[in-house]
Amino acid sequence: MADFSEQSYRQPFPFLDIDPTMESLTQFAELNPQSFILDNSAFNFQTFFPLSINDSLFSNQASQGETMSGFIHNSNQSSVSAQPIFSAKTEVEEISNKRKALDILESSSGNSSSSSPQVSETGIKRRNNSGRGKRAKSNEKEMEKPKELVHVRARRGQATDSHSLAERVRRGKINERLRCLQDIVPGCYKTMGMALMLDEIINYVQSLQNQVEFLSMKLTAASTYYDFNSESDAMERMQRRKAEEAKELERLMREGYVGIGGVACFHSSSTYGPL
Amino acid sequence: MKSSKVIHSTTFTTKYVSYLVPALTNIGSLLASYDVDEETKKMVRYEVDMALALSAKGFAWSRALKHKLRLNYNDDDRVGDGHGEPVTKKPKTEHEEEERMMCLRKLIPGGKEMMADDEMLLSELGSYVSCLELQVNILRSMLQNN
Repeated sequence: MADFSEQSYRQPFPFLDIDPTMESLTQFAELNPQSFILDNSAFNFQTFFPLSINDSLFSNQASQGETMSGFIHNSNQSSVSAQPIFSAKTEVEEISNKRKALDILESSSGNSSSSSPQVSETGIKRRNNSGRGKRAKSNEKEMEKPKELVHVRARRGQATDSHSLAERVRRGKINERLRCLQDIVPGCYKTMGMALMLDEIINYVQSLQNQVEFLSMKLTAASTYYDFNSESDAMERMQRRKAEEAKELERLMREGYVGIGGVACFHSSSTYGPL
Repeated sequence: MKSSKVIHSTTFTTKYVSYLVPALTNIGSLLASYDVDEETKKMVRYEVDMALALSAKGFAWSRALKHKLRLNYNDDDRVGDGHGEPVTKKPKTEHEEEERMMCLRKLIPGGKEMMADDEMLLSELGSYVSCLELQVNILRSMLQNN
C-alpha cells in the first residue's frame, strides 16, 4: 500500500522543473519519514507557488499530518479513487490557486463516499490552517466551522466568559505595545517582566527630558555669540553622530555599562567632550 | 480616529532643524552678549519644545505639547521641563503596574488626558521616546562645533 502511494506520488515529478525546491523538499522528507506522504502531496501544490507559502505550509505539518494522512489512508483503501485524484493533481499545473486545488481534493474524494464527510472537514480545516498559520497549534480546540470574525480561542483551562475574553484581548494588545517599546528603549530585555520594563521606560524618558533641558540651557548660552551653522551642516553632523552613538552604545552594552535608561552611557562617554 | 504614524527620522530632523535654527538665530540677533538671562532661557526652551511639537504632527502628545506651550507662554509662566511635575518617587510594590503607568502619564505631554486608555498611552510613548531621542541628537549636533 505504501509503495503504491509513493509511486503514484512520484509520477508527476518528472514533468515539473522544480530542481531547487526539490532539494529542500527532500530534506523535509528525510526529517519526517512518517509524513513522507504528506510532504509529497503538499509538494504538488507548492511547486507553483512562491516559496514563502511553502514555509507556512510546512509549519502546519504537525496539524496537517493527522488530517492529511487520514485522507490518504482512506484513498488507499479505495484504489479506484486514488488514481483520479493524482491525475487531477497533475492538472494543478494550470491552477495557481491553493483554494481551487483544495476544492479538487474535496470533490474527488467525494467519490469515495465513506470518507466524504471527514474529508470535507479536513478540507475546511486545512484551509483554515493555511489561512491562519499561527492558530494551527490550537487546532484541536477549534470549532469546526471557522468564522470570519476575529476570534480569541479559549485555551485549555481558561475561562470563556466575555469579561475575561475582553481582558485577555486587552492584555494582548498591551503586551504587543510593550514589545514595540522594548525595541525603542535601550536596556529592555525580553526576560524582564512588565513592571521592570515600565521602570526602564520611565527612567529613559526622564533621562531624555533632562538632557533636553541641559542642552537647551547650553544652547541659550551659545545663542548670543553663536553663529548658527546652516541647516545642512547640522543635519550632516547629526547623522554622523547618530552612527557613532549607535556604535558606542553597542559597545557599552556589550561591556555591560548601559544600566538604567542609558544614563551611564551618555554621561560617562568621552566621545562628546565638554559641551 | 487618528491613524498610527511612523516616525521617519529624516523627515523629523529636517523639520526640526529648519524650525529651530532660524528661531534661535532670531533670538540671538535680538540680544547683546550680556543679555543672557532667565528670559532668554525660557525663549530658547520654548523654541526647542515647539520645534518638537511641530516636527511630529499627528500624535496626541504633540498636540498636547503645542497647546501647553501656547498657554504657558501667554501666562508668562515657567515652562520648566515642560512636561509636568518631576516624578521622583518610583513605586515599588503596591499596584506596581498601575502606579508605573501613572508615572508615565505624568511624563508624557497630555498624558493625564489619556486617563483610561493604557494601550493608547503605550503607543504614544513609542513615538514620544523616538522623537525625544532625535531631538537630543539634533541639539547635541548643533552644539558640537563650538
